[in-house]
Formats: sequence, structure tokens, C-alpha cells
Amino acid sequence: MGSLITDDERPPEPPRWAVWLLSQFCPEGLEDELQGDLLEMYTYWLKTVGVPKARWRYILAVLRLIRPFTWSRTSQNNDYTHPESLRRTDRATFIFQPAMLPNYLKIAFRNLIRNKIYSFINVLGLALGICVCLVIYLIASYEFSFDDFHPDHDRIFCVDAGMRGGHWNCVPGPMPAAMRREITGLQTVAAFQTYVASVTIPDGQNGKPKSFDDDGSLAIAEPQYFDIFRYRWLSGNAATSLTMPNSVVLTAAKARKYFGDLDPDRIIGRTIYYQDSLMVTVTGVVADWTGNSDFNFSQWISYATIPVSFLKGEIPLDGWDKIKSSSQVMIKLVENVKPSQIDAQFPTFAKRHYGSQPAFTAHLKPLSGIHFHPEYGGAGRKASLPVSYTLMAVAGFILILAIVNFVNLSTAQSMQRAREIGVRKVLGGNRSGIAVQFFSETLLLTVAAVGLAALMGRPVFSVFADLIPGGVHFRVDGGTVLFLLLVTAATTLLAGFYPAKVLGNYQPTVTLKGITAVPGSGKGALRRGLIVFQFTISLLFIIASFVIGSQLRYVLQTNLGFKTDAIITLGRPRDNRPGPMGFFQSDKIRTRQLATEKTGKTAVLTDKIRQLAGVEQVIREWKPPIGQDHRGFEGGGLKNSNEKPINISYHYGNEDYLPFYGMKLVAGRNLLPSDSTRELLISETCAHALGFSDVSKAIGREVVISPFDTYPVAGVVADFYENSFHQATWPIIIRHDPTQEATIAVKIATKGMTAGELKTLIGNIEQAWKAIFPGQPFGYSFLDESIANMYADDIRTERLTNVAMGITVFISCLGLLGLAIFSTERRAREIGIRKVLGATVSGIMVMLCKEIVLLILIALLIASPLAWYFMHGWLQGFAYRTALSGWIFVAAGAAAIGIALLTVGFQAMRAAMANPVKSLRTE
Amino acid sequence: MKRVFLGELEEVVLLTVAALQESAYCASITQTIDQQMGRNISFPTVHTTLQRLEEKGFASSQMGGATAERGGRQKRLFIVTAAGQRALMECRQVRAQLWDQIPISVIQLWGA
Repeated sequence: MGSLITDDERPPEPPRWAVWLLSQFCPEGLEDELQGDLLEMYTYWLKTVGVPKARWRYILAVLRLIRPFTWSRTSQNNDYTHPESLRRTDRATFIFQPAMLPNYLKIAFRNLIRNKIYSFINVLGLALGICVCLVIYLIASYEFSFDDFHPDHDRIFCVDAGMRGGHWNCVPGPMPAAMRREITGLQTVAAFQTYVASVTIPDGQNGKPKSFDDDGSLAIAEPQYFDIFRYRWLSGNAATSLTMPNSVVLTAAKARKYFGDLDPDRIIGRTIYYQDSLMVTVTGVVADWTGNSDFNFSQWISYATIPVSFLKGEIPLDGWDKIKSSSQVMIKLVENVKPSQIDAQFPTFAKRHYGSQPAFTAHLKPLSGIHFHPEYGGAGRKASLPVSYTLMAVAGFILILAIVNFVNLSTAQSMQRAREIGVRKVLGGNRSGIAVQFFSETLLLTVAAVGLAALMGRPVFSVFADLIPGGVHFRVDGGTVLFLLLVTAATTLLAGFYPAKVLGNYQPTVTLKGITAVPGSGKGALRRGLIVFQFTISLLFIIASFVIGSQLRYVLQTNLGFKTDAIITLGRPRDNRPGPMGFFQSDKIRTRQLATEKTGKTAVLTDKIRQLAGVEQVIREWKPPIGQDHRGFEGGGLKNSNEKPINISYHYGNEDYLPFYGMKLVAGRNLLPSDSTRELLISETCAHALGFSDVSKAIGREVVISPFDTYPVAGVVADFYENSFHQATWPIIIRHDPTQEATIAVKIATKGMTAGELKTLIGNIEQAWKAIFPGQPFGYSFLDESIANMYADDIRTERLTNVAMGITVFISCLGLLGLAIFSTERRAREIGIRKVLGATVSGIMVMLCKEIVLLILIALLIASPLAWYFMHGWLQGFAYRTALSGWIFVAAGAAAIGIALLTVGFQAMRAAMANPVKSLRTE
Repeated sequence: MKRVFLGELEEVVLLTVAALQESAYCASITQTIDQQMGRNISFPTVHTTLQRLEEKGFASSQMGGATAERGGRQKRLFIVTAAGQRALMECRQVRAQLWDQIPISVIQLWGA
């Protein structure tokens, strides 16, 4: 021992972090001996049990010896003259004594009754927090439950295809068949097309045909579809029902809707007409899924129908350059094949079909993520993962705010209970007993709050129905109950821990003497810290809601560059989801074909509508100036120019288009009234993009707008926004092409028109529509409303933020109110003395309120950078946005201080105005 | 009614303190118990027990010399106090009494 050890033989040292831990958290005065002893033990362990175990034992020993886990007492003055029984209970700190429970509950109940205001504040705050948690739990469990019930769902994938990493949301028509041939590792490939069609049942109940509008539940699918998505077949079977052309499979619910309550076997063989001309026969009925799915189709026409019907013209199944957004594919992998193995085959696949330098890319995306990713597959409503996580975080924060209230109020009140605790301790109550008592009080309050929250659930669901996704329902099932139990447990532990600890530590000798201002007024600091925390969260929401509000005002009130009032666009309300971004050839064939049959009819309808009373002007167009529809060309430029090509976006209209929308011409002239002129208008931005700083120079120059076409510029239009503010507006060209202009826009003479007259007018328009397009459903939308619809998500975000702001501010102020009531009560005598000595009412008010103002200012300092960071990120989602100006933060701070002062001010004023004689006479 | 209360672990530790005489400190006590009794009592447990014995007045301690193998740290050396001696002896006496009450014939049977 003690021999010289050379460096080589030096035994491994104990873990350095453990040594450091011991040096930092060793009980006072014991470091020297413990470090030494442990080092000796370590060498001993090295010899007896080996290095790994020695290190392990060393770490364990350190962990047990450091504060707060150690039993070591640094003061050695414990008196062991007590009876033995006391000593024994003292050793076991958390002994639960069932005999005391009724007493705890009784005292807890009495306390709740006595301090009605505090109990009310606590229960209300907690109930609100728990209710928010409950609602958000239901929403989250709904969103995360999508498509998790399919057998082998981890082997089901969809294909995310696109150009240069972009997303098409669909695949080229021939791709599924080609994948089946060329890619190995796929067990099943199922192509399907989403399709929109009206439905007619020829022999309804009274022999009269029944018609149904499209409800988005129709798919044209290969038989393999049912290999991937399993259904229970009530009639027919997965293998054969969809193999023949002109067959259709329905779900039981759909069959009931179409044919009434018939036995599934009797529905087989019935006839359905789609779009009035496609006659199909029912060949199968499947039971509806009970789980939530994005693939919520309920009628499937066989894929084999496409080549033998008019669908052939609408759905291009050959040609790799025709991208139609309805074309989808699902695949199922062979067992133990990884998606990366398939992804690795796509580059060769792309080369084979798109030439040697393909821009085409494709990846597999798992089924489980589809609900959260709008950019690939699926037809249903999508949810946003960040939004879901944000919601959960908000729920957590709101609950924590309510818990903070509880902690604040109970520690503030604890001084009043010091004497009770003193007596309990003297009579043999120990620390653990007192902890159990306070936990049971917290539990009582929490249970009351949970009960209240559960009662609030249903009304909250109906009030905020438009903020909650449609499939979520308030229901009390096993999961919900379990969640509520968890919340109860968590809340009780979090809220009860600190009060129980503080109160348990009271020394009976001190408290029984009547000294309630227990040393260690660090509680005050804690309380202040918690208030700062609460207001930081509240301020975050206040600022967020200010910023979102101002951005939405900007978005909705900015002059778009054209008139939007009193304009009705006819046709089906358009799908709001962005389709594939403009590909020149994408839908050309289909539009041409549709257009030729439609153009003539549309012209007739336009003339008919023009003659109706109350109509000011009618034009034909491809789409309104603003909207989600977008068609364009990425290779625009001046003729014979070798500048970098620019993106151009197409708008179609004749000479009436500009005056109809009140757009300004800044140079040149309007289009000439003729159906055959070859000329176009460009926007100012377009002129600039083409390289003209003086826009009038662009007049007469030829512009390339497609690989085959160049047109001369007739005029330059003042810029207008063509898309929601989330996306930048491309350079615009306006051109007249009668075959494209199949949409009708009507301007109404609003002056002196009542709502009733408007209704009649729309009724008349509908009649005219029905006369010309008998099979097609009539739909219309007001332009200003459809513009607002583009921001539906943002408006929903705004409402959510406002609700969250309301709740956080309310809970914070509730807590503040409780504290204010408490502190003015406690300081009543001090205030009395101050008044007697000549203090003014205003002076006392300032004294009572200044601390809160200070705390909120600190909260503002913390919240501002955080809020700036988050809101800056949110604003990046807009191509056109307001500035994040400093006044927003100032205003938020002022608002918070104002609300807080209103809360506290009343109490402060009452205290300050009170007659000092009264307060001084107590005792 | 017993006057003193000495737990089994406390008794073992206190006996070891007595056995080791001048060199009784936490590490040596733990190692001795480990080697001689084959009982794996963890170091922190011994440490706590020693503190408790001191609080009860059965042992007293003072800081002693440092050695190189413990990194130049001082050690806390324990000795058994008079009360501790009494308690140990009482324990032994109580046990002896019980031993005495077992009939010799029975003990012989055990031995056989």
C-alpha cells in the first residue's frame, strides 16, 4: 500500500462526473471523508469485482450519498429521547395512514367551503385548463387515428411523384402498370382515379329515377385496390367484383342510400347511371369501415370501364407527359422489403420513360403519414402535424397556467394554516402525514375541476364546432376516462407537490408562537416567478393574436387591383386544394374536348343571363382573376431572346374582362372585340420581367407563351394579385380564347336590391342554367366570399389563437385576482396605519399595483423575442406580409398591463378606500 | 421494555468498529464486513448507519490522518462510546440468555 505506482500501472480512475457530482452535492462538511473513503472503496472494488462493476458501484454510492437523496444529517443535534414509536415513524417519511383519511377530507372540505373565492378560482381555472386538454386530446386522438387499422398497414405506401422534387399529388397515367412490370419488391400495385360525377338510379322507389349530386366518394379502381385495403364483403368478392368493365362496388351505407333497405344480395345486378351516360351494374357490396381513413370512398367503378367508355377521353392512361390530378396509385410491398429499396429503382425507371436526363422523381411515402401530408396521395381532408403539436403544447401550457394559480394561491394561504400544521405536528403528525393531507385537498379540488370540465365538454364542442374537425365527437369512452384519470393524477401531483412540501416543513415551535412570516420568504420570489411565467405565456398569445389579426386585415383589405363586389361566378364551387402546378400539356386534350362541346352552350347561357333583370354585366372567362386555379408556362420570354425564361401565368377573357373587373390599363390599349385576334395584355410585373423598365416599350413586341405560340402585346395592365397572399403572383398575360372561357361571371346591379330580389335573381339564373345544362348541378359563389375562403385556414388559426389568448389571459388574471384579494386582506392593517399617518388613496393604489406592472414588464421582455421568433416564422408562409412592427409588442404589453390593473385595481381601490378605523380595530 | 434499541445492522457495524479499534473508518468497516461476514452491505448504508450510531451516542468520531491511497483526504475515525459498549454487551447478554435457555440436549442434537 502506498507504493509507488508508475503511470502505466495506474488503475482506472472512478468516473469523473461522479467525482464532480459528489464534490458539488455532498452534504456539508462531509466531502473530505466521503471522497477519500469512496476512492479507497473503489480500489477495493477494482480488486474484488472488476472495473465495470466497480465503476457502477461507485456511481450508485455517489448517487445515494449526494443531496437530496442522502439520509446524512449535517446537524448532529437530533434528540433521541423521544419514545421509540415516534422515532420509527420519523424514519419512514411517506407512511400513509388510512385512519387519518376521513379527517383529511373533512378538513379539506371545510377549507374549501370557508375560502369560497379561492376554491372557486382554483376550480374554475383548473376546469378550464382540463377542458381545453380534453378537447384537444379528443382532436389529437382523432387526427392520429387515421388509417392505422388496415392489416399490414406498415407495408402500404403511396407514391409521391413530381418534377425536380416538386409534388404532383398524383402519378402519370401509365405509371402504375409500368411499375408493376419494371419494379421488383412490390406485392400489389393498385391504380385508382378519383372522379366527380352525378348519380342517377333509374328505377327508384316509385318507379321514378332518383338523382344524387356528387359527394366526392367515387373512385375508379383496379381490383387490386381491395387487396390493399381490406373490406368485409357482404356480397360479391374482392377478386372478381371489379374485373369486368361497367361494374361498380358500393359500401353498405351507399347501397342503402341508393336502393333503400335491401338485402345486399338483391342489390347485385342493379343499374346505376353516372353522369347520365355511364351505365354500370352493381357487382359487390362491402361493409363500411369503422375506423377513420383518408380513403373514404364508398363507390368504386372498375378500372376496366375506362377504355370502353367516354372516360377514355377524360382519363389519359397512356402518355407520360399527361399529368392528371385524379390519377393515384397505392402499393403494398413484399414482406421484408424496405421502401428505400424501391426508391433506389426509381431513377432507372425515370430514365426509361423520361429520357436520359429526367426531371421526374418519385419516392414512397408510408400510409401512416398520409393524413398529415397534403403533398402526397389520399383524397380526404388533411391535418397539419405542426398544428396538431402546437395544439397539444397550447393545451399543456393552459393546464400549467391553471396549476400555477393553484400553487400560488395555496402557498399564499399556507401562512394562515401554519397554526393548524403546528398543532398537527405537536399531536404526532409527521411530515408525510401533512403531505398526504394536502395532496388529498388538491385531489378533491382536481376531481371537482375534472367533473366540471367533463360537463363543459359538450357545450364547448357545440360552441366551437367550426374550429373542430368534423369527425371529432365528444364521447366518454375508455380512452377519454383514462386520459381524465391521468390528467387528474398529473395535476394533483404537480399542483400539490409544492404546497405539501412547504407546509410540511413548518416548525411547530415557530408557528405556534404566532410567527407566521416564516423565514425563507423565497416563496415570494417563487410566486413572482410564476406570475412572470403566466404573463409570458399570455403575452405570447396576445402578441400572436395581434400579429395574425393585422396580417389578416392586410390580406383581406389590400386593394387586389380589381373589383370584387357584387360579382358571382357560376359553376361548381371549386376545390380549394391546390392542384398540380401548371404544366403546359397537362390537361390540354381534355379541356379542348370539353370546351368544344361547351363553348357554344356557354355563349347561349351568357346571352340568356344578360337579359335577366338586375344583371349589370356578364362575361365569359376561364377563372376569376384571383383563385387557386393556376395555369402557366415556365419558359416565357420575348421572341428570339436568349434571356433566362420567365414564368408566366395565363388568364383568359375578351375585351370586357378589364372593364368588368375594373382593372387599369397603364399603357397601350385593351384587346379588340373579335374572337380571332392574336394579341394579349401583360401585367406590369410581366413587362418588368421581360426587361422593360418603361412598360410602354413592351407594346407590339412578340411574347412566347408556349412552345408553339407567340403573341404581340396590345397593352399593359396594372398589377393585380392572382392568388392568395401565401403565394407570389407570377407575371400575368391575358388573352382571348373562346374555347377556354367556359366559366360565367355575373355582375349584379346591387343598388337598391334587397336580399329577396337577389334570391329571385339567382333562382332565375339557376333556371337558365338548368335549361341549358340539364344534367349538371348548378353552383355559384360570390367572388369576395371565395377570396375569403382562400384564407379559411388562416381565419381558423386566428380564431384558435384568440380563444387561446382569451383563456390564458383569463386564467392568469384569475390567479392575479386571487392573490390581490389575499394580499389586500393581509395588508389591511398596514394600509390602515399608512392612511392614519397621512397616505393618500392614490399613493396606496400605486403601492399595491406597481409590483404587478413591474412583473408584466419583465414578462414582456421575455415574451417579445419568443413571440417575434414564432410570428416571424408564421409570416414566412405568406408571400405578401405586414411588417412585425414594434408597436405590436408595446400594444400587447399595454393591453396585458391594462387587463391586470383592471383585475387588481378594484381590490386595491377597495382596500385603499376602506375606513382605517375598521381595519385597525380587528384583533 | 428494552431500554436501548440496536438494530441488527447497527449491531454488526458497531461490533466491527470495536473490532477494528483505531483504524475504524467507513471504508475499512465496509471492507471488513464484506470480507469477514461475506455480506455485501453497500458503502452508503454503512455510512448512514455510522451516522445514526453517532446520533444515538453509541459511537463518536474524530477526523484522522490522510494517506496517499485516498487521494490525501482525511478520514473520519470512529470509536465505541461507553453507551455503545453497554449496548453491545447488553445485546450479547440477551443472546447468551437465550442460548442458555436452549436445553443442552437440543444443542447436542444440532451438533450431531
